[in-house]
Amino acid sequence: MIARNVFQLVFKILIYLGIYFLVASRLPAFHMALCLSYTAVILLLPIGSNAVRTMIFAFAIGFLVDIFHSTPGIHTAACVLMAFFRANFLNWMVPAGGYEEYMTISFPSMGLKWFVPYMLGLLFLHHFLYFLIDYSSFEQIGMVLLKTALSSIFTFLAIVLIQFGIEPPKRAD
Amino acid sequence: MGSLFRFLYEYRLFFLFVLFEIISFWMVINKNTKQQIAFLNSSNEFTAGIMGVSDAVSGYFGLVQENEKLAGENARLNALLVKSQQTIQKMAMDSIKIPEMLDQYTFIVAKVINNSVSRPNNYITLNKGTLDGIKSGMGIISPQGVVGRVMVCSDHFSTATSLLHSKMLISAEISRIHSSGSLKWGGNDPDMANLEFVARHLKPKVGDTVRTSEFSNILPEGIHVGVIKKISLKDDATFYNIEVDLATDFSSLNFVYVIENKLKAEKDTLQFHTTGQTE
Repeated sequence: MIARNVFQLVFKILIYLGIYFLVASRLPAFHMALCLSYTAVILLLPIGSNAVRTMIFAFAIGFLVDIFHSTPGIHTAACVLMAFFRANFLNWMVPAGGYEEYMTISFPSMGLKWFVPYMLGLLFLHHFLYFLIDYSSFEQIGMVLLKTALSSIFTFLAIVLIQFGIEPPKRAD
Repeated sequence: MGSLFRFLYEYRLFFLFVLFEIISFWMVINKNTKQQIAFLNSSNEFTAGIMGVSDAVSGYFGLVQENEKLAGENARLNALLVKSQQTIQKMAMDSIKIPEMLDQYTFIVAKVINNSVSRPNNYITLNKGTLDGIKSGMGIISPQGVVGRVMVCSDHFSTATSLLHSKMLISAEISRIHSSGSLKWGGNDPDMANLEFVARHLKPKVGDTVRTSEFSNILPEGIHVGVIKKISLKDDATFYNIEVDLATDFSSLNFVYVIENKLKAEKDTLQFHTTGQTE
């Protein structure tokens, strides 16, 4: 039973990374918004995942993406920041009655009121650090904030679409 | 001692976070050293392999435009061929033969397999490397115009600095009035660049063509760069602010030519002996 879940999880992670490397990384909209959809593999990990292991995983994913883009350290720093705040977000946003075994991080399961702030909040932190290091100056802070905001929304929409594609919500029979 | 360990364990998540961030920032800061570039670079075989597949996937969507571009280039090259035949005939009449001058530049066709336009410093990855004769420092052009300069090469791949890079300067001139300046990207719009150091006594016009000048060490003279779109001159400024609409569409780069200048070493050595410095 557990082996099957682990297999499913690894399979999903590979699909998200595959979509990012093959398609999404080439989709800058209007030269402003980037689609950093690989962040889904960290954001959508099961709620019960160990925080320390999540952070090590985020470090590894960030490093992989950095090698791909030849941007040593930038994605890694942003991913680690996001993994750290993911643990805090999950603590702050405990729904009334606590997390249940069947809950997964998706908007049919958690509802819009939980899912949208969780995703956009973490994506904003990730993208903000990413663009801040990329521009490495506070002079262009307006540009950094604009790109962060647009890219967060773009990435969020992309992740929701991909999630609907590969794990269609089950019908409530 | 025990309580120290308990304290560390209690806040292990935070300490791990700080440790990882320190490692990341160390990587960011050290990215300019040579070893780092050689190791953590998209010209390494593994990532370049992935990019090759990715490019093969997205390549299908641009076939129509690519065909049009190739047809256009065919026409341009045919015209060029006619012109060069005329020049060769003229040269044949001259008794002095300098083979290196006639054959100063060689062109190597390469395919762009990774490219970005929306970062403050953009790089390009090409599918040819040292085994195909590409060396660091060679110039790159596309059928439409100037592209950039080769930075690092591995056996089968190379990475290049795009013109859309804050440290990239290209020596260019306004062809109509032969006044040269430096072309530099503004940092935001991938279609526009600034032509700097055009003195105020000159009279550039909107619509003038900008080409590479003969001062450039990496690119041949006369490669198309773009068209002047906006000119402004402040009352107290020595130089014009000139915005150039770039001919190259960086967001759809596909096939490019890497240019080898066979006389570069000779020119560099001579200039080094005269001034004691290289470019």
